[in-house]
Amino acid sequence: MVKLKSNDDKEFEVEEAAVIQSEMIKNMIEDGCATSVIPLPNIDSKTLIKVIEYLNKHINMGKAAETGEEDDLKEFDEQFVNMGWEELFDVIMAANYLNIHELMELCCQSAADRLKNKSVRAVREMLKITNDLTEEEEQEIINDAPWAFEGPEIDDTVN
Amino acid sequence: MEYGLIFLLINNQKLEIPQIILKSHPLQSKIVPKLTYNSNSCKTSSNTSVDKKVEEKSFATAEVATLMAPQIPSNESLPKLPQELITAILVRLPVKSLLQFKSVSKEWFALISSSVNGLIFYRIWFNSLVLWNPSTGKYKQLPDLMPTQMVTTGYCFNYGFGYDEVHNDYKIVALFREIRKHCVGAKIYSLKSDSWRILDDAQGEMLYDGSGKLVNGKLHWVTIVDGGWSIMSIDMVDEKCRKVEQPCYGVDQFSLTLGSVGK
Repeated sequence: MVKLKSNDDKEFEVEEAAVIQSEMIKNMIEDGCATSVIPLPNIDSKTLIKVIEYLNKHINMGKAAETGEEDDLKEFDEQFVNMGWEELFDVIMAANYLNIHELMELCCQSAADRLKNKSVRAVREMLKITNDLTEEEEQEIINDAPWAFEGPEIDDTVN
Repeated sequence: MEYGLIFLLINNQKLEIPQIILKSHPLQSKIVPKLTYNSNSCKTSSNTSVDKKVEEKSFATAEVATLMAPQIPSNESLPKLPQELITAILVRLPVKSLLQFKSVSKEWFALISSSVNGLIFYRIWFNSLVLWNPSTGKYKQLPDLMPTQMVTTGYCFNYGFGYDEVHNDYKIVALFREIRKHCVGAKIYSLKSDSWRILDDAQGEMLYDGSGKLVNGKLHWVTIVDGGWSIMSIDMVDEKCRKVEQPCYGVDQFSLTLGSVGK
């Protein structure tokens, strides 16, 4: 078992087989730097719980393929990314920090799927981005490719 | 130079290459990309003992982190994603969405079409390199920088994309470091020769900042040499490395983030 400590001082025990899906921790263990508790100063306990949940579920990826549990895993992934933007960003940053490729892929793809076909207004609202372009600058961008700003698929709803 | 090349890093062939057509835009000269304080694009090494010195230093001096980068106000309510992570999301979007999202904010405009000399630069953290010319839709996979086996077993990379006006050649500088090792290797790719050459000058320095910033035909990086911060430039024409003299900042301890503003 490997012990991980979140930045709010909570400790979690994770099986080594699960935790080495993180390239960073795998390297630490191989280097013998992971003898006691591994502190993760960039990750809070709420995010770490999500990450560990993912790691535990994905621990036997190879086995799943053999036993036909692949669908199960796919369903888990779909459920897993069903979270708010804030939480998703936290998990992306944690996955990037811990270097867990599959989790990065999953979360970045989910973020992209949510943004796809959204209107600019909806994107700003969803991600709480302040528009700091002037009206003229914005118009210039639109004039560059007006077709991109039109179409029945463009979705102005916020979710 | 109306059309440029896009430099993409993709992890596998499946990843959609955005079929985006962008030309050099009058706005670009006004855009100042916001640089977030970013400890390193080399994620896996930030918690290891060898890098401890760097980590401590950067934490201690975080308040004066952006001496050189103009700031654009950011939102407080969502966690601020570093630019490379926003890019990792954006590259998964279809072209039409990307063209629209250039008008989300200045930062997104800069990320989607950040360009120098009409060139567009995309970077995410995977290891397959592709050059792409949006005006013809042709793209080209670069020769391997190093054997794939080595890439996947613990190297971290920093890239810079530049243009050699004298030889009319596109060049890519790759700086790489074995995780937990200080020693840096450097190679430069030339589109004309379609090959990588070892850059002897750039070896041995410890790199800090993410991607190279192209100003006046030279790529610039913040480096840490012997525990001190400095700025290194690589000339795209003669491919030589030089140290850039820095102003006196009036503080003993500082960290640097590089930014660049149009031409």
